[in-house]
Amino acid sequence: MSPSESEWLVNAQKGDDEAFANLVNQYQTPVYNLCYRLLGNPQEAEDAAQETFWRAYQAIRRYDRDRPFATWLLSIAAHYCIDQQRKRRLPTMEIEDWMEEIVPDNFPSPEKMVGQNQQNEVLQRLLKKLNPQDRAVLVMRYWSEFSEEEIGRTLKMSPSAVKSRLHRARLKLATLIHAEQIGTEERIQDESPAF
Amino acid sequence: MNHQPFELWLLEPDDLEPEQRQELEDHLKNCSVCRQTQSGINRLNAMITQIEPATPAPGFTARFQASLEMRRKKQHQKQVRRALLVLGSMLMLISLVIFGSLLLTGSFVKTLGLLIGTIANIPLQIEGFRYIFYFWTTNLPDSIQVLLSFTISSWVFLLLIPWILTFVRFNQQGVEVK
Repeated sequence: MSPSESEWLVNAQKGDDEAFANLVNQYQTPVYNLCYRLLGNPQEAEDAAQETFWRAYQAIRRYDRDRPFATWLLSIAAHYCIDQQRKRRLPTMEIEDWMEEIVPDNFPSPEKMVGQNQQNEVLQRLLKKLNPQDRAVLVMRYWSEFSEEEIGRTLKMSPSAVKSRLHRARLKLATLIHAEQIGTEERIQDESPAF
Repeated sequence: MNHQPFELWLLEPDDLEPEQRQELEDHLKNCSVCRQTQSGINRLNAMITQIEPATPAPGFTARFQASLEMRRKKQHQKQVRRALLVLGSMLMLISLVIFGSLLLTGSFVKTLGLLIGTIANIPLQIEGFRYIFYFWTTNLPDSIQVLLSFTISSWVFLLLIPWILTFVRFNQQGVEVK
């Protein structure tokens, strides 16, 4: 934590809105990224990130400065997003995703697989196939670079549970990525002029 | 074929001992499922390192600051509504308890009569109180009258000021949970 950040925290706890705005500015990307990876939609991610900062603003006086601020903040974001998904009472996989699985023509073309945006799209679609808790663990580990202990504290689970969820999530994603690759290759063969 | 512990080893290759590494390589030569898993893991790792964190649209902090005032107002309105609801419910409950106890101790007609009688007597009671107050104040020495009015008004002020301040604070800032 930088000296200016601890100063912002102290001032924010005293009710200084400007100091809290500095914290929002500092943490907007990790919070938004977590919300985006968990919810999969930019507008919902924006709303969830704004709600996270509002909840943090309301509870800032109760924040224990001995605990890392990022862990505390991302814990609010993760719980909010997981709750949102539970409230939807819908399967984590959307209709378009089912369609993509059913209709082979919807596999991304080789051109689409190239480039960061396309990769991002693919990964986001595959992330949706994980359950919200596994997704949260994965996002915190790789994008927020949290340790297993930190993820455990954030999501209220033991480090061994985090490790096992992380393994499960990575294996599932690896299998899905491989299946997608096979699908793409088959599609290329089917569309080849030789046939 | 059993894919454990090879699946786990594929996930954490850096933690492997040289013998485990050799064992894994031997297994991969004969197991197409683990080779597929390895290929998927490599691709996943590459994707994760290549993809930058998603960033919000520019002006996120400004949007938060703009929404802050609105959210605060909404929260205060909610608190006031909740307080009024609690107050109203308490009044209703007290009234129901009083009315219920009156009903239990007498008949409905008697209770109704008592209620109407009490309400009708209020102006008379006020008049009686005013007469007593006037009688005492005119018969008391001036110094006692001044002392009495000073004491009463001081108490009224002492009780009224914190009440007004609390009311104003409650309206303007809401209730903060510390």
